[in-house]
Amino acid sequence: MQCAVDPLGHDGPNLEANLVAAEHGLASGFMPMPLAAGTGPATLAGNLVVQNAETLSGVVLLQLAFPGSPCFFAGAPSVIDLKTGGYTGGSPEDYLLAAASTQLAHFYGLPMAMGTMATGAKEPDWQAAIDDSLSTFASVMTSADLMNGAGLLNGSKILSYPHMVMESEIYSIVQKVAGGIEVSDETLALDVIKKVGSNGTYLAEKHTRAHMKEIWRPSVWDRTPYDTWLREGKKGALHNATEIADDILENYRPEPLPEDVVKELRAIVDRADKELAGA
Amino acid sequence: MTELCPITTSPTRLALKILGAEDVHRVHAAALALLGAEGAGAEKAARLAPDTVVLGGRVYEHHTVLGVAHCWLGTGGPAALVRPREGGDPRPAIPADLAEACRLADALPEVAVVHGPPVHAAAETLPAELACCFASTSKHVQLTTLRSAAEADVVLRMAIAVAGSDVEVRGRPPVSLCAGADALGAAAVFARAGLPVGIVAAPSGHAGDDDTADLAAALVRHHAGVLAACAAIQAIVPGAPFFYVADPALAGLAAGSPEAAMFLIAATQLGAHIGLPVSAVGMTTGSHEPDWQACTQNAFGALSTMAAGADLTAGAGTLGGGSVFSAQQLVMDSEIYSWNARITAGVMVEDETIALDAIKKVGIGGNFLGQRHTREHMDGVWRPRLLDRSMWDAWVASGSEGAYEKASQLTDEHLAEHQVLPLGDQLTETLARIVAEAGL
Repeated sequence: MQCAVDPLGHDGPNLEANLVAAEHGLASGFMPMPLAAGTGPATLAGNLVVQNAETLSGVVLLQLAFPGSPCFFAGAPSVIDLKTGGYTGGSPEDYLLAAASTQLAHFYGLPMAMGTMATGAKEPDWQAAIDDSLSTFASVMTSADLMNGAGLLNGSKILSYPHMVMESEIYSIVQKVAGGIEVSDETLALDVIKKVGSNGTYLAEKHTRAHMKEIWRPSVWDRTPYDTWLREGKKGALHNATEIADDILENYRPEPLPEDVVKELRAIVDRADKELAGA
Repeated sequence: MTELCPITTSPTRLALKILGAEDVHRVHAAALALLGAEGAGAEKAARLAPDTVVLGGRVYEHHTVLGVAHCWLGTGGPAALVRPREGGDPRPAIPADLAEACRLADALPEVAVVHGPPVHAAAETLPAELACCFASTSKHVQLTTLRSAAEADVVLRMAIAVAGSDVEVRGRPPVSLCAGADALGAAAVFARAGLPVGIVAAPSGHAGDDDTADLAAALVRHHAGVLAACAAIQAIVPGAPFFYVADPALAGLAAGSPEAAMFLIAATQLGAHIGLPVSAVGMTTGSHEPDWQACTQNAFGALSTMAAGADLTAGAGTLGGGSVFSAQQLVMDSEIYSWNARITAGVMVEDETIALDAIKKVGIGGNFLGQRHTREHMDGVWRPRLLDRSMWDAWVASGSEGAYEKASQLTDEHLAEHQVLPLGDQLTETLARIVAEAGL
């Protein structure tokens, strides 16, 4: 995945790398990041025109060189901070642009890898929460195919493990919502509703036992009653996420690469170090 | 100095759906079946209710209308506990907290409706609280704890006093009622006088402490409850203003859960299906502090209601599932609303916003900063009040201030400077006399 040079440009070496990937059948994508009012028009529709042109031009080049090579759209659209001229790292316009560019990618029949989360907040705090929640909502609800950015703070300059866990929780929530509501005779449960009546409880019903596991459960959110929360030291989401991250880092081991692959990778890296030294 | 802050809102151009058209029909049909013989009448009754509902303020600038493709923000409440502005654990509310909460709501341009009221101090009567609300805000007050017809009679007299007459109270009702089944008697009093009501007639039932096993079933029960209440009200006063209440708590759903967000979207669709404006409680965080969890929960809840096309999203300013009021949380929820209002306004696509000429003029590698098109449209770019967008070093040098600290500053500024439009001595005396005579 390569960033474009906004507005309307591509970097030569980046394009060459894309062409090498396409030649060998590796998936290749372009990620424009025009800042509305800076490297793109202040209006969102105009910003979409710029980023769409940038992505399409890259895709067209690859298809001319290697027809049928796998391509995808990408994006990390944003708006300039009119006070400082800097990158906002989260604004409502970002999510509208993300949603609209995902629609455009699908219009061309191409998948979208959307820059999501990666908040401008400095800490995994309230600001990170609104930014990550709404950006994820926008990407998932418009069916983006991949979301990049989990774990990043301060405009992608800081990586935080607890933050990555918290963002996984956000993803889990939005994924649940995006799953929708199944409406069938079984889920409408009209017989059970009539049986329980207006003042009963569903706790002991067979229907409840059959479906209770479908209810979403949090890993990071705290749902303890106030007194319990107070007694246990006011542990919040960041505390819970830190514990989960620590546990994963201590106990989880990913599937190892076969020995011969490790050896081969090492040799490639060594060779590259020599060949590219001073390049 | 008295300062009238007009309410800010923006049109809702999105149409988020979670139920397909056929699913909406199936849930609606199941609710009618649940109501049995009353079902057919209930559907007819819903069609009698007007498709727009006016929630009047004391001044024109504070009127809101439900059913006109705008989503307004309401506070939450009533909370028996208050989180002190200066910090520390929540404490029992006192009457002065209600005045402060209403005054802050009056100062915040995003807040359109004082729902609840936000704070309830033990031993305070509802009429006394309403008098305090009227004195502390000129925005609409939506009551949720009104239960008896006797109380409703007192509230009606107060509303007429504020509006000016029993004719004017119908045109710009300063009070409405949003409640459960036990408020039907009070709702009838309101409906006869032309005050808007939104009632869910039957308890929805609970699968567990706070979870309902099947959302479709929860929707059927809730929808049947709304239809039954609407039928009861329309039978008393055909054409009475009635809105569809979408409150996850009334459906037995966990505060701020994904299921609550899904319920809010679906309930808004069901409200639209029967042609009623929707008053939702979109901000229902269960978090005990104005933190990451509170923000994620209220961001999802508010966006779900607003993007689905609800007309009011209430709950702002409360924590712990509505049990605690926090002034800072009200400011932070207002910022969440502001984000969402910009999102639900959507993307305008026309020649001017596509800006093809400006794009060609700037060309490859240029920038739009000096373009006339940018100057003409830069004011349309959303600006935050609570977010930090400074560089890392500047942020550290400024004391690593976060959204909560900024919200505290804004709260203090509003409460130090904002003056509510006064009621006037005569109206204040009239309200005090009605409260005293009520003897509730």
